[in-house]
Amino acid sequence: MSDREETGGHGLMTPAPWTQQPGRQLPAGRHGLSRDFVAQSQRERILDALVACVAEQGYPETRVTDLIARSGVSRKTFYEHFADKEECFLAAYDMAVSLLMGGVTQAFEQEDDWVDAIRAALRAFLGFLADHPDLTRLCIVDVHAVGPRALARRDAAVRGFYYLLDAGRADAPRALPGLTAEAVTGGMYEIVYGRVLRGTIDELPRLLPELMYWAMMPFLGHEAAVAEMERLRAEAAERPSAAAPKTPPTRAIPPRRSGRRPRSGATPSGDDERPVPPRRSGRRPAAR
Amino acid sequence: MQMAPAPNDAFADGLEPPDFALVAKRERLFAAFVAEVGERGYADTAVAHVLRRAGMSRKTFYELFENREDCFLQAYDAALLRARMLVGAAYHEGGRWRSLRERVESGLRAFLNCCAAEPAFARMCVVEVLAAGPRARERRDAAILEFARFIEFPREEARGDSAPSLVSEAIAGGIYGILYSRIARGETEQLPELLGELMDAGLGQLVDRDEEE
Repeated sequence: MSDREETGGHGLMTPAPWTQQPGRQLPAGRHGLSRDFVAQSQRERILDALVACVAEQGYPETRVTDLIARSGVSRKTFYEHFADKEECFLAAYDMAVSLLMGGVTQAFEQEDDWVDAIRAALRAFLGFLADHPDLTRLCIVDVHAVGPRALARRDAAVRGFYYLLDAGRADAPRALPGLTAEAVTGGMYEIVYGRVLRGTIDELPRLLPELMYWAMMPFLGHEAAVAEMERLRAEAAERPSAAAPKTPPTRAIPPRRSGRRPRSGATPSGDDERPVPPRRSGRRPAAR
Repeated sequence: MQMAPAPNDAFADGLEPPDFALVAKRERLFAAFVAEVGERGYADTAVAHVLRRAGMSRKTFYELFENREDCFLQAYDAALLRARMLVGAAYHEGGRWRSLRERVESGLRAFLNCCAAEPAFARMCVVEVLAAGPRARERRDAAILEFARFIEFPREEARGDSAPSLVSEAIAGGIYGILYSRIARGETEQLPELLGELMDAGLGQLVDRDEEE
């Protein structure tokens, strides 16, 4: 059975970053290419197909038949590469995570100072997610629908971030609990997850100042984290063409439907739709 | 004159006073449902298991719930309502006589105690909710946002506009993640011991201005 497909490939999908030549099929018949090269190319096409199918219809609805049709490989070839749909998902997940972590770790290691390193890593992280929305969705949301093996992979991937953050303990003014990095990572995960659900993955890079605040605050305290956040906000404002939002950023926390009345006072730039809890009289106790 | 409706969606739009016999049956079914889910996982829990455990008829079950998922969602909502009241009461108790840090710590303590006191409910609300279909997931996502909105009060009180409101969502997500892993490992009853560590992993630094010095 030939591995050809009738048309010239899957033009609509965003190529996954492991694809060197998106949408290209190998020539049929004798081509003198090595077996390894062919196998690698088939594997990449199947993974591309999985990413595209999961993005369009979700994991539960994706069938092996869809993957075969989309990648243009034969059923036999599919099963030579993967035992089943779950194996295929796990392979795509692993590939995506290793690309992501590769970029993040490299960015981190190029800096000496922890704050610089975290900033570089976070920038690389958010940039990768925004550049690959289909992979982001797969890694952040769809991974929960696959089963216990995928969940174990997800937990391991999340733990990969702990040691980057934990390096900040050395700079912390006091001893921090063991779960600090876990809490910070969990918070980042939730922020990304929320943006994926609301379909605003592309705004993630613009959240760098606020996310740096969150990454630094538990380790170095509020004041240091605010200074960094303000600096990054000013930096973003100076480069309007590159970084400025075309549309105002969505609310950090969507308001309830019943809706509290927003406060009319000035709010800092870049976050002008924040929900504000109703203020009671007397902001703070006079003395403690 | 109409009595104010009970603070529960099931009765909110009804004009008749609640049927207390039905309420009691509902509670019994919740308890049986949650216990079964705790033992088998949501995927393997059938309505028949719940009926056997509760010693109630299929007819009663379907009077109260559309189906298994509906039972899950209602049990989830009821558990969340309880947690919300306990946390809110603990946070507000004593009002401004107590420092903000103390109030936040009380709220978090109440939440952890509430989980530890009812491990089966905690497992359902924190862990199983991810496996119970898209509607359950939406409930979880909404609950996290509600938790985040709640953290907005102390954030605003302590830091005004200087701390981004994104941090409230991050703290809610961070605490959720830690609860999830501990409950999944069966350490629900030890959760109250984590109070100090959870406070010192971000929340305390946010709400305690005195810590800066």
